[in-house]
Amino acid sequence: MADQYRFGDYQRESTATHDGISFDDLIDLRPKLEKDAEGNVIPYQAPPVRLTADETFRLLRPYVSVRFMEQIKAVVPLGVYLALFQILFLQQVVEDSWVITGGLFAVIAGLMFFMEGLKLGLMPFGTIIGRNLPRNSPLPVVLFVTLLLGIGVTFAEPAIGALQTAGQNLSVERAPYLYAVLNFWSTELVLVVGLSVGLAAVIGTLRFLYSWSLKPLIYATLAPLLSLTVYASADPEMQKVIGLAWDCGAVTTGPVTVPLVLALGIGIAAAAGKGDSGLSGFGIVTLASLFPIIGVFLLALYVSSTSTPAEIIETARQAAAAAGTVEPAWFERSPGAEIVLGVRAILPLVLFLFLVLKFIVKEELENPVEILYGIGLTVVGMCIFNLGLTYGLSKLGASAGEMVPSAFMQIPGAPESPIYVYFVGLTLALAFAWFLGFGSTIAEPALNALGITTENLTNGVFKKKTLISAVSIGVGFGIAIGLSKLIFDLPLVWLLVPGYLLTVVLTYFSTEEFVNIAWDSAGVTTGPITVPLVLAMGLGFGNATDAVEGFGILCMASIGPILTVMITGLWSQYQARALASAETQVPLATTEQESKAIL
Amino acid sequence: MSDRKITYLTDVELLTVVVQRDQGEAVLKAARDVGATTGAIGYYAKGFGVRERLGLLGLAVETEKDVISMLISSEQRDVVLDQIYRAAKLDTPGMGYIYVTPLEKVATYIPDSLMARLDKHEASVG
Repeated sequence: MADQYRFGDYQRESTATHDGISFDDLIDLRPKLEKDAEGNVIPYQAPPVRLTADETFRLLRPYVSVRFMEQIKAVVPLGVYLALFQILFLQQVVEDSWVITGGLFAVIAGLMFFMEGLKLGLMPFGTIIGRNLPRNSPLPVVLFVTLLLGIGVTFAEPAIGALQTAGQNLSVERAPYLYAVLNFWSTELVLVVGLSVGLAAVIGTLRFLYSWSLKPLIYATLAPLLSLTVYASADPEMQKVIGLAWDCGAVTTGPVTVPLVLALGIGIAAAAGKGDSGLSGFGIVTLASLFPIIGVFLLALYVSSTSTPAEIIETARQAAAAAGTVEPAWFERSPGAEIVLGVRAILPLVLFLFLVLKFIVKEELENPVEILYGIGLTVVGMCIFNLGLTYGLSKLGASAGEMVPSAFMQIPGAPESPIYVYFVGLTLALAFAWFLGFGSTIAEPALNALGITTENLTNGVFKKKTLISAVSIGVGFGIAIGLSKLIFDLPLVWLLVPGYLLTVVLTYFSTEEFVNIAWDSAGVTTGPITVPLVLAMGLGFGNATDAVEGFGILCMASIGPILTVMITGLWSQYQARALASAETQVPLATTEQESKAIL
Repeated sequence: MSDRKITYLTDVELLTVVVQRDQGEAVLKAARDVGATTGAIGYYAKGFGVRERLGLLGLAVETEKDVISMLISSEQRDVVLDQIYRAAKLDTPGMGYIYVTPLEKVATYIPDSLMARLDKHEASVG
């Protein structure tokens, strides 16, 4: 026993037990090198590591739980909010709550698999193609691939399935064209939307290449768009398609489209030596939200020119009669339908990417096993997500939408409605919509990323937090206004045309950076959870209030942030200018005083 | 600092932690909790250790790594190491590793007030 010990030694001994092993003793880690006849070392092949069941579990647990928690954070608060609102304010028990819970769980699990699969299976394609294609092929080929890619990614977008679900609950008599577009023409609808996204990607890419300003592109897109809207509003039947057309814009820009199309676009710009402008990457999202609207309008016009409402109603009646007699095949029923839908969504995109890689880029994939696993995960995830969409998100959104009107008006489903005095109930319903939009946006991870980019672009003038709150407030007001459109049966054209004219004015006065940020922020907000939920809520709400159709909420949620972000941008510019002029004045004043003091 | 005298710090060790991407924050928090983030730096790296040999299970290990290294005094060493080892769950397969390297000397700015206190302390001890 020594007289004194170092405190550090004492602490080490008292806090944990430590053992030392010499690294040299870990025999199996030390390769036994063999040499061939000429004395060269034969490359050592490390034996595969085998894990025990316990080790496997401990290896996988953090991997799964991190990804699972990510989706839980996105889904659970929204679900709880909707359920609590119904229970506390509307005194309604959520119907089929177990089915909905299971469905939401499927959404969480499905998105978890889907996002991981996207990262492992599809993104490597995007990166390799984006890096190599523009260098090896002439521009027209590259642009053609971009166009086709736009179609592929649109089919693979999880939220697109929500459109199909939305069509089933429509009344064919009241909105025949809308019914026809969503039911008989649903594949063509997605195709048209995809084509528009592809075109948007092409033009967005050309914009990178030739450094076009976004402003004229916006004006040039809005002009036909708004005229089509006004034209459609003149026709009593076409009028009902406006909401769908504008909502399609919000559906397109999701977790598949944005990264894949951007990877290609940025690759093209980089190959041309234009990759370093801070704004590359912006704009495609904007155009990809605007072009599909035109596409859907044109499709609806085509449908209206080929068939009359009476014909559509007749066809729908026959189809309904046939459905009653013939048992639908397994792939037309749930859950078979969802699985077929999931496979059909992913495989064409994968096949397309693979063919481009093999025959145009002529590159090999680095890690085929990993990519195969990723693609498998994507498909499985998409199928599970589609199931969750049907049983969870759509049901929850629809039941919330159907119940919210009971706060201020009499609806058949709720015996005690109206629960509140008209004005109180109305305020409550609008507040509900506002917080739904605000809450679901503020947690969106894509928005966080955009916030960071914005802060860098503006040298910190426009803070990440400012952008996130501006966008969230915009979406909140957008959804509230969209809901009041349904309540008061406002014609959408009166909201859209003045709203977008205002954005044109603001765009004219804003700087290029803010125009890019503001218009892109609209596309970023509508993710795979918000879109189906809000769509279903609108339709349920529309059913309950006896509105003809429940579309139009999503597009209001797109215009809201464009306005708020540009207004905030102009305000911060104004402030920065005021600050700058104040700074130049202050030193002048002090030198004046100094000179007076000296005198 | 006109006399251009450099005061060295001795008994410094460099603690380096390699963890999967996005786990770096947890490491820093653990270090902060035991009062050790002096000279902490973090960088991104790519790992190639055991992933290939694990087969499909290797997918659970991110190739992208956060590397955090910081200066610690040799007295602090074991406390900090223990804390980080636990917080970063380094006893889990594939999670990462931690190591400590003794440094010969370190020099940086030492505030004058601190210097004065150190001198006084030195004088009183011996």
